Amino acid sequence: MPYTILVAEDQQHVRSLIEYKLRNSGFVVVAVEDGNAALQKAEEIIPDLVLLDVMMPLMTGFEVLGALKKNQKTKDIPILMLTAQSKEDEVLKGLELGADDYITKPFSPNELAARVKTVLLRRGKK
Amino acid sequence: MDLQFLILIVLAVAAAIFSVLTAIVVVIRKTIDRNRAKTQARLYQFYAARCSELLLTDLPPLPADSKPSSIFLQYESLIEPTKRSLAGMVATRRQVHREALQQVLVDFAQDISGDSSRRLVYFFYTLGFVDDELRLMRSRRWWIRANAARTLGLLGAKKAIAALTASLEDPHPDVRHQAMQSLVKLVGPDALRTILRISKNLSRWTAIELSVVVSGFKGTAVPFLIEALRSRDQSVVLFATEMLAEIGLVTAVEPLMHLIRTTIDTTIQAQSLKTLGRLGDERARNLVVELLKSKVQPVRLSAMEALGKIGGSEAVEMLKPWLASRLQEEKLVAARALATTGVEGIAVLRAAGAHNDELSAAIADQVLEEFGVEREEA
Amino acid sequence: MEALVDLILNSYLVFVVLYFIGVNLTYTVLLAISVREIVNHMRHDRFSNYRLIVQSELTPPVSILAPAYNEEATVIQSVKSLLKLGYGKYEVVVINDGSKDKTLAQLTAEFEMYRSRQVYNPRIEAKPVRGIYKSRLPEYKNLVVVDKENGGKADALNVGINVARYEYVCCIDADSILEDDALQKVMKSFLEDEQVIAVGGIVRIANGCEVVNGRVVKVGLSNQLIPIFQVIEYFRAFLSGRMSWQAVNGLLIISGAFGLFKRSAVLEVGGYKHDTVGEDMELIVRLHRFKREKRQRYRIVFVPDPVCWTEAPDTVKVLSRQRNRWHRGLLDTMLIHRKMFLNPQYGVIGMAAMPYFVFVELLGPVIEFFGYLAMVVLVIMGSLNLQLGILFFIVALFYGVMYSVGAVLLEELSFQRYPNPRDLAMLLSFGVLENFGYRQLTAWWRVKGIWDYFRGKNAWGSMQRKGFSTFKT
Repeated sequence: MPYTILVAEDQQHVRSLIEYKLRNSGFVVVAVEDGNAALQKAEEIIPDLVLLDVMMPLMTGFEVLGALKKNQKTKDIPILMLTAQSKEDEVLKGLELGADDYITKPFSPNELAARVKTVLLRRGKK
Repeated sequence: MDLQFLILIVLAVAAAIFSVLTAIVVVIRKTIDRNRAKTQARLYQFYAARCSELLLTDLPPLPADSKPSSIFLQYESLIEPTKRSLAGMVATRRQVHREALQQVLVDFAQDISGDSSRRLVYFFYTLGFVDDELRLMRSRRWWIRANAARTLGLLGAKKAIAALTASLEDPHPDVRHQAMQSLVKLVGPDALRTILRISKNLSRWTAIELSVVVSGFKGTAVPFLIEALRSRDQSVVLFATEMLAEIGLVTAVEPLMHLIRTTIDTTIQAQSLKTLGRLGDERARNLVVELLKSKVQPVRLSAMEALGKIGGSEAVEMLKPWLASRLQEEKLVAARALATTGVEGIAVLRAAGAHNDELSAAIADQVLEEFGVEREEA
Repeated sequence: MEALVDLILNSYLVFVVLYFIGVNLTYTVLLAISVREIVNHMRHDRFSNYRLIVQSELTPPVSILAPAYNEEATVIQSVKSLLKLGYGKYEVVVINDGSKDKTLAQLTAEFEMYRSRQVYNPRIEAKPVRGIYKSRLPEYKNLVVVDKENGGKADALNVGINVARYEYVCCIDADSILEDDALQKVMKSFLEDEQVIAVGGIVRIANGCEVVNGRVVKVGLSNQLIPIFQVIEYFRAFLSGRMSWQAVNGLLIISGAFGLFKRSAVLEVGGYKHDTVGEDMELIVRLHRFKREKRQRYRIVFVPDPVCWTEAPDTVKVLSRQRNRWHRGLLDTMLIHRKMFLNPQYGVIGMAAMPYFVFVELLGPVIEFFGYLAMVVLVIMGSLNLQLGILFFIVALFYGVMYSVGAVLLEELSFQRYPNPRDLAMLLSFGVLENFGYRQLTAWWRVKGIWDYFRGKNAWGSMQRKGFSTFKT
């Protein structure tokens, strides 16, 4: 069965690019535009991985990350963060809060797909 | 009486006409805008999906002996259907579509890297976006020039470098700013040399804009910053000094010391001292100690701060008397400098109560708290 | 005798008509300047990348000063949202102005605060400080709480200015809801021009908006009448009035709900004056006065960006007290600085801005009020030219409407914060409606303010805060 990936990204173009790339790489993709929707979906479908953009209005990726980790049902889902620029403190904050890996914008779509696979593989072994 | 009537009636009619017309225009415009926004959002979504495909479609590998330009033929075959459908539209509709397409591509250009971004640049040229913007660079209206300057940077159009360099001397600051940003994007660190040489009276805002770019370049920017220390423009020198501190390469130490010795501008002296402190290089110690005696307060304060960061037993001895200064601000800066020197300085602060006036002791106490150190040795 | 009264009253009405024409000419000029300024500002703003100000290491740090008096219901929520603003380095200084409720206890418990050993050595004289508190929690290390004896808002802000660490201080009301990018937007003015010493921004009415976690997330109109009238009033005052005065460096007021100052400039003039009801306006006039007397170059700037939202009074009673107080503040400021009035030494302030405030803002309601009175008396005496009277009223009405429409137009040219065309239509119709009752009522409150001032009643009209029912954590 293919892996399901939940993508939370407010920017339309990035969302559709990621959707396209991950679908082509053989994943089932569910994409949402904001943090609240991400939390709801995550609880509903329990995806195999969540890809979170840090810079989102209303609820930042960090807040979503925190909420996911607090919830018993979703706390074990691996999380990949998408951060703007290489802001070191942002990256550290994400990892501290329990993210599995991060990708900085601007990103290469191929690298993104590769990272998703690595995180899933790493988790699969455990 | 009749005249009075007439005047009032004219006034009333004028005001009424103005109000009613404006009100109608405002409400109608709002409704139109709303609908247009909906159309634009729809088009954006459409082109975002289409472009994702164009950017990510796997192309067949080229044979090893093919010409370098064959890759462009492949790119062209990708964009060809889109071009054809645009060409088939009536002019007004095509314009709306082109705008949406350009917006999507520009947004992508900011967020993606790798092979896909090379395709993007090709699309910009072949769709004619680059030439459009180059034409707009000659507009008489500054906001159109500024917008074109910005867009050319986002498009990654190397063809525009000459035009953008010329715009560094545009009469309007916003055009200059956009040209600066775009040049940096297109040329990389080398653009700094031209920018810092041509620029005069950088506002703090411009400095902030540039600082983010320069921080990104890290070490590669240092030679250009050192060169800029020789500029005759105070704002350029200050900017270079501050950025050298942020980047933190010790190659800047000697040029900065030379600058402090030769300049008569005390603002520059104070700022350069701070940078020397941030670099923390021992070579600067003697010079810094010398400037503790400066008659200009900001220079003295910067010297204290720098000395604290350079550290060492000598620094502690030199800073100690300043804790007893008459001025509260000097006491505070001296105390913070002592705390930054480390264990020895902290010992001085802990003992401050015994030798000094009440205020010095209180300030020493405050600084210990700021640095998260206990009042007594554990 | 009757003939004499008749003559006096009728000539007064002629004076009112002339005054009316003068005022309207002034308004038209101001509106025209504002349109130009706003269009320019919007063009310029498109090229400002505010994200850089957050990222850059060179961005100057800011101290936000938030005075709190009996705010136990909302203080935690307010402070938390202040700590989440989008800006580089900044600190939040909450000044507990001798609250009688649990404001301080709430703060110290929620943020785990301890009594700091920071030295307090006041530069501006103010009521004594009882203690300075800092948080033990690392995520709140930029929060400072100052506990002081009660002395009013001006006194609390002075203490805040004394405690502030940074060169830029942002003075706000306890219940101001800041936009996430408020500091970025106003700070830019300082960065673009070194001569700027103070910047104000637009204060908007939060009634009817949806507020979540101390942020306005959806803009809309209240379903009560009183707040809607005020939305139109605020549009006129900020977009048309302040925008045009700042164009000639003649801005006389920066709202107490949000203002950013150079600390050194405020210290230079001795901080806020604590014994006036209009401390926000008085400070700005004093800054102008000081700089003009010293012949230093300076600018006081207004940015039309919405930076801050505030809860407006929604009952006639509270609103009347607020307007009464504002008018007493205006009068007090003008009297304190009467030396500047029509004095060429003070340039545009003495010769244009102050005369405008005295003749239009201060005396306008009085002239209007006596106009109505004269009309009533003449009607009773049966000697009013009724046709002329009605016609005049119609003209006045249309002009009133014209400025309201103009103000809405300015909003549409710029920020378009009300997404729904229905809200706009509503605002426009309230621009008409306000001329039947609301306008007269506010004029009366302001006349009453002048009366109360001279009777020596300087008490603050207190405003009952309800807190936002939609606050969620």
